[in-house]
Formats: sequence, structure tokens, C-alpha cells
Amino acid sequence: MKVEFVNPFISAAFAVFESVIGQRPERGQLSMRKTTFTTQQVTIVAGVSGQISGTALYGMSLVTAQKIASALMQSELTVLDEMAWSALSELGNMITGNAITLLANNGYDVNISPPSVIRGRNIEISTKTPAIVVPMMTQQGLVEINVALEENDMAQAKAA
Amino acid sequence: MTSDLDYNLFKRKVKESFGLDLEAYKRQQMERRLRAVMERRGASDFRTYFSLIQKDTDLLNEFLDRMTINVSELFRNPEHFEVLEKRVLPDLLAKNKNLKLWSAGCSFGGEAYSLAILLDELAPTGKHSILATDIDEKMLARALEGVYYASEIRNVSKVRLSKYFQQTQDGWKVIDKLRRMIRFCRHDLLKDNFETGFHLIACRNVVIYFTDKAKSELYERFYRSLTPGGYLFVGGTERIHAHAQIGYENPYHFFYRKPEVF
Amino acid sequence: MGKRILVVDDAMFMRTAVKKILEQAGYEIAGEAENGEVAVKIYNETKPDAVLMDITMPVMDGVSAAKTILKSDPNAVVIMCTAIGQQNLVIEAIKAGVKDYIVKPFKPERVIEGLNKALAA
Repeated sequence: MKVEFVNPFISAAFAVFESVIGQRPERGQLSMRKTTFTTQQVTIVAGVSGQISGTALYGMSLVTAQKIASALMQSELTVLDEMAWSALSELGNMITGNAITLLANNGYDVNISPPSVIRGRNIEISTKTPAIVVPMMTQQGLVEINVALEENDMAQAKAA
Repeated sequence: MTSDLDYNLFKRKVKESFGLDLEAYKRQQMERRLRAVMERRGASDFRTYFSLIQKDTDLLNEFLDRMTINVSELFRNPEHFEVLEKRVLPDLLAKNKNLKLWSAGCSFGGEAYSLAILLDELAPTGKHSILATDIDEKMLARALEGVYYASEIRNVSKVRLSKYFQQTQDGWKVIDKLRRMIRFCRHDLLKDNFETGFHLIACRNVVIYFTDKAKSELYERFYRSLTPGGYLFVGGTERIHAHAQIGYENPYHFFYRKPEVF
Repeated sequence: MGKRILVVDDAMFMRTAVKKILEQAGYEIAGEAENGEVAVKIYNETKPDAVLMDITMPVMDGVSAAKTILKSDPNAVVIMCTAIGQQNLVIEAIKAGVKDYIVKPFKPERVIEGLNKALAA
């Protein structure tokens, strides 16, 4: 994976958080993950395709998910319902969408798929490439941004 | 210190061991980016540095940290601030005792305070004015507070940190002297009028979502707001495509200059 | 009577948020759709005054849906409302006849301004 693929996700995640939730998260210590890893309690998964393909995953605890959904919906939630999961999915969509706009501005032809939200502990996820993990410390708790992308040669991308 | 051979081997080993592709980075670029951390870890060449990051996950993580951006940090893209410090500002100060600067789209203030630090170091007796604007009132309020996380002052040298910041329980807070150098106010780059007579306008990573048309109009308006000989400082991935048409020269990467009049 | 708007987005959260913004500004909701295919169907059924269209949706994406609608009704007022904002996509949409292109996250005023302008023309 090209290291510079991660920056657009960092920019986008921080910008979207500031814009939508109105606060400045703090960036934590980066790390790398092997291709198979276990998820947090809540993981928003977005697919990236085209010249660059792979997955962007945003992982957090249930408590953090609840607080973020509450902030998005501007009401105190005690239980996460269909609407709250939709709000979290949309957050993933906004971050990933903004990130690929930046990748496109750098000349890459890329697209995203609608995100899914995975709930449950100890679910194993396998990505095609190892992921770089960027922890984003927010007032609602830790959100881990996982970026696992690879560049495809154009022939492959056109066939896809 | 390092050589092309040394660097090429580094790139290959990093790709094999970690699956990370560093092809986009030239040797000198990587050296500048990693200089501080390699020195700190006692690695005089990339071969040694690789053996360190291969053995120690914390050092690998530190490497990843340097390879990626931190959006609200001070001296973001420190190698660009080095050009500012060593070439651009001295050039401006040679002709003007008092400088007028603008951090357009200042966000949480990191850029404005970085400019203030440089001015205080290079020309402490000058009567400089630094304008810092942003469309978002909440960001301006935080910029005014001037408190930063540890991760946001990673590019600030120990000397500068002790001189210009105080450690508080919320983080690193800028000293009053620095804050007084800056005028923070709300401003919409797309709608409001621009002041003129600036020696330097910094607009970095602000217009990343603007359309091409909006960007070129903006760069034209900045041109009119600069004094002859003044510079426009853009962000780490930004280029002004038709810069010569607007009238800019491009003396250094990420710096555009309005020509002097003779 | 207020102008009637069709709201299209695969996220229920987004549809609800947009509907609230529209209603507060005096617009009426003609209907809602969760993907491009349903959007085209409901457009033909309800003939709204304007459509707010997301792009990233399953079954049929928003640009395809916009093109389909504009082909059958060249006077349709379609405004894209999406998280992806690359230049070539904006150009493609505008060339197809879309009236405005709003990038998420957006401020409510941006949507209302966009609608007001597009409907006044």
C-alpha cells in the first residue's frame, strides 16, 4: 500500500468530525495491522474500488458509537436503533467520500460503495492488504481509522 | 550520510517486510522528513534505520507517524517552513522592516502561531501584523485559546517549545506575547472582501474541496492582495495550475511570488 | 402551497435530516427513495418540483438515476447531494442537466439556497 493513500482518510476524518460534530479530535500513535484482525464492538466498513481498491474501516466501542450517534442526531440516545446505525453509516460515507475526492484530486480514478455497520465483539475481518491504523481521539472516545488499500494497474481496474 | 543505493534498498525492504510502497518519495524528501527521528534513534543511514524499525514495533509506529499528516499541527510540513524561514522571510525582511501576513483559513491557529514564532525569531523588533481568518467561529475561538495536544506540537523544537509555550493540564498553551501578534477574525474566502498589501498569504490545505474554478478565482484575488514581491504559501499537495497566467513566479515548491515592480 | 421535493439517499438518517431541513424551510416532501431505481419510479409517480439526489446508493447510483430522469423530463430540477465531490463527476452531472451539486457534510442553508435558486430559474 502506498503510504500517501492514508493521508486523505486522516484529512477527511478530522474535517468531517470538526464539521459535523464540532470538535477537534487528537491524532494518536499510528500502527500497522496484519491482514486479519478482530474488530471493535462497532465497525463501519466502506469499500473503495477503481484505480485504488480495498477497505476503509472505522472501529469504535459501543459506548463511543452511542455517543457519536447521539451527537449526529442531536439527541441523547440510550439505545442504538435503526436510525442510529444509519447515522453511523452515513458518517462512514462522508469520511470515505471526502477521502476519495482527495484521492481523485491527486489523479486517481476511484469510487466508494455504501458502507455497512458491523456489530459484535471478536469478529475477524480479513483485508487484502495490511492496514495502517490511525487512532482518532474524540470527546466521545476512540475511533480507529483503518486503511487497507492497494493500487491496481489500469488493465485490472478497467476489467472490474 | 545516505546514498541512492542506501535509499533504494530501504524502499525495497520496507515494501517486502511491511507491504508499504514509498515510491512517491525521493531520497532527499525522505531524508528531510525523517532527519529528526533518525538522529534521535542514532541511525546515520537508511540501512541502520530499517534494522531499527524492523526489530521494534514502537519505532515502526514512529516511522508511520512521520509519513502521515497531522491536520492541525504547528509547522505542518516542517520542510516547507524551513524554506519559509531560510529563504522567503529573509527575502521579505531585507526589503521591509514590518511585515503584514495572512493565514487564510487558519483553522485552530497552528499556522498563524508558527508564522508568529518565525517572525519573532527573525525580526523581533519589527511591528508585524498577522491576520488569521476562518469561516468557522468555533475554530477561531479555539485558535484564540491557543492550546495544543502533544501530537500537534511534534514539529516544534524543544527550544521553541520552552520559549513560546506553557504546559497546562489541557495541553501546550501559547504565551501571551505570541497571541498578541495575531488578529483573529471571521472571514469567508468565497464571499468577503480581501485586505491588501500582504507580504505573505498562507492558504494551505484549505481549498482542497473547492472546485477548480473557485480555486483559480481565489488565487487571482490573493494575487491582487499581495504587495509586489509578496509570496503565496500553499499546502503540501497543492499546485496552482495556471500560475504564470495569473502572474505568479514559482521560486520554490509551494511558494508563489508576485513579481517586484522596478 | 409549498414546492414538493423528492428526497433520495440510501441512509435513512440522511433522508430524515434532509426532510426536516426542507419542512422547516416551507417545502413539502413529495416522497423519498433509498436508491436510484426507486427514485426514478417515485419521480414518475409523484412528479415533484425538484429532486435531492445522493450518488452512492445500491441497485442504481444517483448519477445514473439523474440521467434517466432528465432524459424523460429535460425540465426536471435535480440537485446532487453527496459525499463524493471529484471534479469529473461534478462536470458529468452538470453536463447531464443537474442544476447544482452539494457536497456532504453541508450546512442546511446550502441546501435551501441551492433549491431556492434552482426552482426560481
